[in-house]
Amino acid sequence: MTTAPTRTVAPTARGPVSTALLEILTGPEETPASGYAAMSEAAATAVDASQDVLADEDLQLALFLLYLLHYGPAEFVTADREWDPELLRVRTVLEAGFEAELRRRVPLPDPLPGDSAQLVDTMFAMTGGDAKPTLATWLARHPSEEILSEFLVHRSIYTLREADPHAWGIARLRGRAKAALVEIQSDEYGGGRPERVHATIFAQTMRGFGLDDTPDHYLDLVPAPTLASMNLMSLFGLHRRLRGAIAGHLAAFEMTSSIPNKYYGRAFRKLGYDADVTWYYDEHVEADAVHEQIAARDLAGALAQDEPELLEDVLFGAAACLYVDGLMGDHMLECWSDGRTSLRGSMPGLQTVGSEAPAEERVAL
Amino acid sequence: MSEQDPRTTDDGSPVLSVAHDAEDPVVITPCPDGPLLVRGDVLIAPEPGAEPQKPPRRVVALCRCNMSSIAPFCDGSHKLANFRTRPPRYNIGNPREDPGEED
Ligand code: FES
Ligand SMILES: [Fe+2]
Ligand SMILES: [Fe+2]
Repeated sequence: MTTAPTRTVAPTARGPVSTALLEILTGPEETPASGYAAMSEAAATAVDASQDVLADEDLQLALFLLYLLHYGPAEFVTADREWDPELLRVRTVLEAGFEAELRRRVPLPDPLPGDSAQLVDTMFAMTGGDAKPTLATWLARHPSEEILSEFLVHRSIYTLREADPHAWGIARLRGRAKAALVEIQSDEYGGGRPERVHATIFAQTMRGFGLDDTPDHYLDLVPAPTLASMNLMSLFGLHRRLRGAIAGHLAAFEMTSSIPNKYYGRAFRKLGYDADVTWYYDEHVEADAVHEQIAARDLAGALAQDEPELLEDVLFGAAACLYVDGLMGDHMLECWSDGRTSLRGSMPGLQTVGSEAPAEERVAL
Repeated sequence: MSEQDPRTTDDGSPVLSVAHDAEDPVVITPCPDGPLLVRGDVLIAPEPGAEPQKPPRRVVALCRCNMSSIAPFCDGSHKLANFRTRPPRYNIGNPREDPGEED
């Protein structure tokens, strides 16, 4: 049995905050006080000055790297930094800016549902609009090697660690909600069969498509909206205060999954890929039709009933999932409809939209 | 067992419990406007007379709307079809009790 490959090269900074942070992460074990001071100052200034924290490349990368310390693997990090108080302090500053922007922009239904039964109905209504999702149906109509490889690159940031951010929630919930979350997560983690772990099935899809399945291999290429989608889950998962939001996030995610995955599978099949590549999507058509019911009723609904003061955050988590993942999807769709790449650049062997390289060169891997 | 079955839902959907193993009974939950959730150790015969098979997960969703592309399992199509179920008409725990008004 081999262990998963790990990213060893540090990612490229995108601005003053990620520059100062990467200097610390890749620098000597003992960080000089001046290093921490530079980072804190850069963070405070950048959060204040940012026009849109959700689209801010520097802030989203810095937050992603700070969260990465809790997930790993991150071999470019030279010391044990997970609980470095200075890094936690700066994470708090970035998170405050991130959460404030989300609270400002994520639309919540008005009036709020009054009880847990109404909450479940509201969540089915909110996610019903995504039942026939534009990105998935568009992909099924216009699949190309370039577009699908960009799609997999975006998705790889989360999906190669699928279910991990929501797993933080298990320890923070009690009773019915905890049991429901474990029931879903058990399926996400393969029900005791390592080869069925969803992240592992996705890694097989990437390899089958000729892509590298090392977590974060393509980190430098993905733009802020994709990082924000992952950071949202980490924010909700890593704060006990936000346990309602992580439950709501998972529910909305599961409730908008089965039907899109059917279209994604179709897109890959149209290009001639077989079950080795489409297994991940086929599996999710079936699994998420189950998870949707458990997550909406037994996780989100039961949590709002057992801890009514969390109802609004459950809804916020669900709405934030739809909003932030919507930004990521809109970005891809906008770029591809214009014939542009949705990535920040390319890499040898990676096929991207609008690339100048001759086809033969791009296919080689 | 506690007073309340942890799998009892409060949204009006009944919980059917088929005792086949006293330790771990299979539980069937009809989800409003959606599938039947089946929890536990079951085999499914794809059609009458066919060899029963073990489903790939511990909880499965059986399609009730007849629109699924992966029948007998649910694939979420009931949402596109705007499938509506009727409220429960039968008091499972006490069949002699009045199930309530017809709608
Ligand atoms: S009940 Fe879900 S597809 Fe039929
Ligand atoms: Fe999954
Ligand atoms: Fe799922």
